[in-house]
Amino acid sequence: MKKYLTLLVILTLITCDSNRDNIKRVGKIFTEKDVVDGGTLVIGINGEPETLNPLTALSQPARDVISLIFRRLADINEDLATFSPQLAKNWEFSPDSLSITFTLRTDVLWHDGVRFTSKDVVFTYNMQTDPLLAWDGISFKESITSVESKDDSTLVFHFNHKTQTMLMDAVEGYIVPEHLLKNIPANKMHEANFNRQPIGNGPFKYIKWKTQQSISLIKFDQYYKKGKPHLDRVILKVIPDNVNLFIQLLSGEVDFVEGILPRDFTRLIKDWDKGKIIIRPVSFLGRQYDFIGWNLICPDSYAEALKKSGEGKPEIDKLLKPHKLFGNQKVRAALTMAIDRETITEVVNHGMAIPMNGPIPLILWAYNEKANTVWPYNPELAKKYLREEGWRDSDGDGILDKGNTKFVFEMITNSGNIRREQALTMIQEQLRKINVEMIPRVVEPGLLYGRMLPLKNFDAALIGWNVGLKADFSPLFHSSTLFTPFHFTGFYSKKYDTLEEAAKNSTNRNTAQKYWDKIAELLSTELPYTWLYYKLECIAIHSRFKNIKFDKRGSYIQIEDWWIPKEEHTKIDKIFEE
Amino acid sequence: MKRHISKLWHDRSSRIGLIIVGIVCICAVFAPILAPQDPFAQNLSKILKPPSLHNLLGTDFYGRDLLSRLIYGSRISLTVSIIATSIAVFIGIVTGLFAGFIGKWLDQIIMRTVDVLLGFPKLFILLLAVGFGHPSIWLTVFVLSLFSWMEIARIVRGEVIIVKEMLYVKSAIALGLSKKRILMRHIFPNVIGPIIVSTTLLIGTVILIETSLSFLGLGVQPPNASWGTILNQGRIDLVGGWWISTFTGIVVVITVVGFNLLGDGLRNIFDPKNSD
Amino acid sequence: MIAYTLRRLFGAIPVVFIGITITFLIIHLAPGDPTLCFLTPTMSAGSQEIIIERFGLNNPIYVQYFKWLYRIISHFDFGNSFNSGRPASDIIFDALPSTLLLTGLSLIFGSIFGTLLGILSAIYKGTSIDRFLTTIMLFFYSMPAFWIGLMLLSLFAIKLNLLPASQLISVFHYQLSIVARIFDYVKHLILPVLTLGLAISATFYRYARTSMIESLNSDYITAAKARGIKRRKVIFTYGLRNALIPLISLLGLSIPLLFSGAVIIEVVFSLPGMGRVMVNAVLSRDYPIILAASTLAFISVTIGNMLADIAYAVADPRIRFKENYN
Repeated sequence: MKKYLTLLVILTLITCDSNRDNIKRVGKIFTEKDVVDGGTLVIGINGEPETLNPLTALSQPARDVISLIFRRLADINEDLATFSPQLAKNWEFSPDSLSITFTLRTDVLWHDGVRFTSKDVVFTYNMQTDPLLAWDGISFKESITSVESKDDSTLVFHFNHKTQTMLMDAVEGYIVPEHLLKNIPANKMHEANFNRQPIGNGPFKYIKWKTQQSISLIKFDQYYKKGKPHLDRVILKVIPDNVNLFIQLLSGEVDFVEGILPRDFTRLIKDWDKGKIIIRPVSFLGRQYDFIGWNLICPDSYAEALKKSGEGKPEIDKLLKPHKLFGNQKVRAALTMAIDRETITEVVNHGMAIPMNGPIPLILWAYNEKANTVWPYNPELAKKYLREEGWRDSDGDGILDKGNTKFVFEMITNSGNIRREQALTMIQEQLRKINVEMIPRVVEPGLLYGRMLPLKNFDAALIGWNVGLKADFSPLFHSSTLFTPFHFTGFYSKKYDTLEEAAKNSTNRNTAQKYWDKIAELLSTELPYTWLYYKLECIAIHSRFKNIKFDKRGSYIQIEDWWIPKEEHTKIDKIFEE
Repeated sequence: MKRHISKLWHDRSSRIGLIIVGIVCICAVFAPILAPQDPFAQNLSKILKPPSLHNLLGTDFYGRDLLSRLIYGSRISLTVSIIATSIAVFIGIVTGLFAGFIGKWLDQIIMRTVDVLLGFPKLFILLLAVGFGHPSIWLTVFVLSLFSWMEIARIVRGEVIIVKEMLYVKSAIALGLSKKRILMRHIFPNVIGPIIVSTTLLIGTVILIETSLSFLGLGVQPPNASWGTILNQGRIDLVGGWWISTFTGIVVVITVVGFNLLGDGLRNIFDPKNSD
Repeated sequence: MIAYTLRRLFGAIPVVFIGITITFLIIHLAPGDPTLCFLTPTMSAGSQEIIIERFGLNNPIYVQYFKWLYRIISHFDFGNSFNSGRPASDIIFDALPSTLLLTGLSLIFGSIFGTLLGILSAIYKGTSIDRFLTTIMLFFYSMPAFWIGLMLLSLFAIKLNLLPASQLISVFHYQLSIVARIFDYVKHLILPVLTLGLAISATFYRYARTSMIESLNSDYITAAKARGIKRRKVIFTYGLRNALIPLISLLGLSIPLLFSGAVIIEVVFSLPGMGRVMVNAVLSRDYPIILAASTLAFISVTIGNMLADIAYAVADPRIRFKENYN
């Protein structure tokens, strides 16, 4: 009995909620006048940035940190259509609408004290468009022909044709200092020392980087927006593990965490509502969605076509053979109807996601739910569709077959993503109900993205995309990209190509909207993907931070406005003041 | 043989070991009969329920019964580790005997190979091997066995050299007895003890390494669930579903303890120095 | 003795060389393309070729191999990380101190603790002390190390909130006084060192106990006893000396752990170190890092083995004689 009791005690210790004492939550409403400077923000990031140079950064943690150190000419507003001035004071389109003239601020200093001028912008543009650098955002600069510096504070961007996204294309990308980088050739940029000791002109200044541990930034006193930032210090603590990140959040060692697992997030909400914690959970439409990509092309015929890809299109049309299962639109539709996307969305995301029916991400202006063809959950209709396509269980083993082919396939996902692994398990169960056998397979990302998808050596893949703020599907579906790595479904059609080109080239948003609607309709009918869910971003922040605002552009964008009331300073704020 | 088993049964700790290993093996063989529920059946109304009368050890994130999953998990964990260990022990004994008994250049080559393979701590080299292949059950077995034989080879070789130096073996060689005879008469009885000891250690170690690999997400892949895979899933729910990682861990520990106890018991029987 | 050491040292060079060559071949011939990790849909079409060229992957594999080898020998240059562009040697040297701190402390704690208990158990073989220690250590031996870590973590970090759950130091570490800094280290390291140390001590315990018992049972100990030498002297001079030989070898074999880190402990406690460097490098196909870390591992293991053998030879002259007339 005694032994039993000890066991019970240990178990209770483990199970008890992490209920902290000394909870102090201040409910006071603050006004503009109460704002004071000072304090430290500790952000938990789940991966170490590979670089802090905007020209070479790829990972999310790197982009986040960079957004605190560097500035663009202008930032997009929450409507994702208009822009607010940053390094540029204002801008003006030329009468022929083929160029934009920017007037720059003259009071901007780099963190090393050197003045920022239009030369920095020209240099940055030249670097960004240097093919040897392979800059990630190059597609934004495609329609720009040149950037010309009129004087230190005047700058002209020239375009080769009118598009709707000219301003967005011009201001995309953080500006880097010419005086520090001009001697580094583009193909050596990724090895520059600057990458680990960045000098920017944003609100926070880089001071220290302890590898695999933390990156420290302090307030830049001469930041061009007077009186900002309010916080003295931002420390980014590297904790490459979601479980530990969450534990650190609960124990107060970090103040702010993004990408909290939905299961943990819903628990936070409950505790917050009960007043048990001082960490405030916040959610908003994020930038990620998951989908199933079907392979429309027989892998062997693709390999054949790849060899001859230099020989022109008509030939390739003959070479490519449809995939034995998913080359057929009706089969894809049947599987889409057999998957209960509502339930999957609900379960794997604990409600922190929205089911998705078409290609256009929910945060973009081009999104129009009505344009999508919706395939509601209907296993009976799915069975009927498959029967019509000749799939029957003729040998009574519970799995459909047609001729010598059984309806058995592998669905792969990358390792390290819990939601996708969960979704995979649920889809397997649901497909079993329509007598289709799906074998889930979790593959290490290097292999999945590095080999299986680019070579179309797979049946179906459950993966996700990060959403950019510009709608552009050409790397995914346009026929010109058929032999590039991201076009892994092998879907292509003349109709799509025409629509996409028309949408991109229309200068009027209403016209463009019509084309985007048609694209949404076409893709959601053809179903190269079965879209699953669009994720809500789940974050949590210590409640002592005031004036915090988040939206779909990200949670780092307004950190310069955050502040902490003096009376709510904690140990971490005080320790740095000494 | 019968004598050995009864001897084993009469020693308290090896009896416990035998019982544990027996139970685990029975679970693995008769999993479909013993498991109270279908380990793959998802029940979304019972997500992450703590232990109760209906689900003795609680349920996991999909509402699957943890007890049933552990019973089925024993199949995969045991199969993987026993096959991997048998292969490893076989390779280890053969190479170790050759290296130790024949010596000279063969010894040099084998022991240098062992050095090279031991070049990394196990998990390090497993990571490399598994990271560059398709993670699957058979790759796990292959990699585990290929990188587990070295210690057995070392131990066997070490014992052979020590035994070779012993007076009675030296005199046997001096008397001109055939190598085979020396091997069977003098060396084999002396090395069998250490081999059995290290084999038991190895089964335990291999179960543990498999658990670690699956814990890192590089071993057995879902929906196949070894204990390591279940532990990995349980870790995510450490705060909201303590029972998963706790009970799975306990099952792993008890099983490994069982193998170790059994091995120790076997050693007491086979080791000539202890059997009087 | 010096000749023996030198011979082993020269013998070690080809081992390291063959080892890294095989590693080089394996990772370059394995499926999966490292450049794909560095491509995004928004890049231009020719980017893949540019990145392939940047990494030097456009050359035939033997050219890549000799270039790589040449740069190491001539400039001690292991190449730059694909991922961050930093020299691989910088990345390794950044990660080593944290790893040495964790693994060094754990190895010291684990080996001493385990060996002492093992010897104690052997001397009192069959008594209740022995049974108690054996049972406890058997459980530690049979636990996945990370599971001990998980349980300690959920108790001390989640429930009691006494100790931090991750990292090596607090973010305000450098604001503290010297004493407080040491305390800060202790707070962060106590759980991981305990976890890894207990796992190590269980292995040392088993080996120490087995080998001490064998040593006490061996013919010459019996002979010594028969000659009437005191029990205490028999145990500590003859018994212990022979019993420690396998432990020296075990210690030698543990040396690579010092340099390669304990992957799982680093993951469970989110610690910086070599283990994490290696996991990240394997997952992102960062060839230069994998090769640099492997080279270090090979060197450390051959040195470890060598030290073990030399210590073995010093402790047990029989081996030295054998080696000498071979």
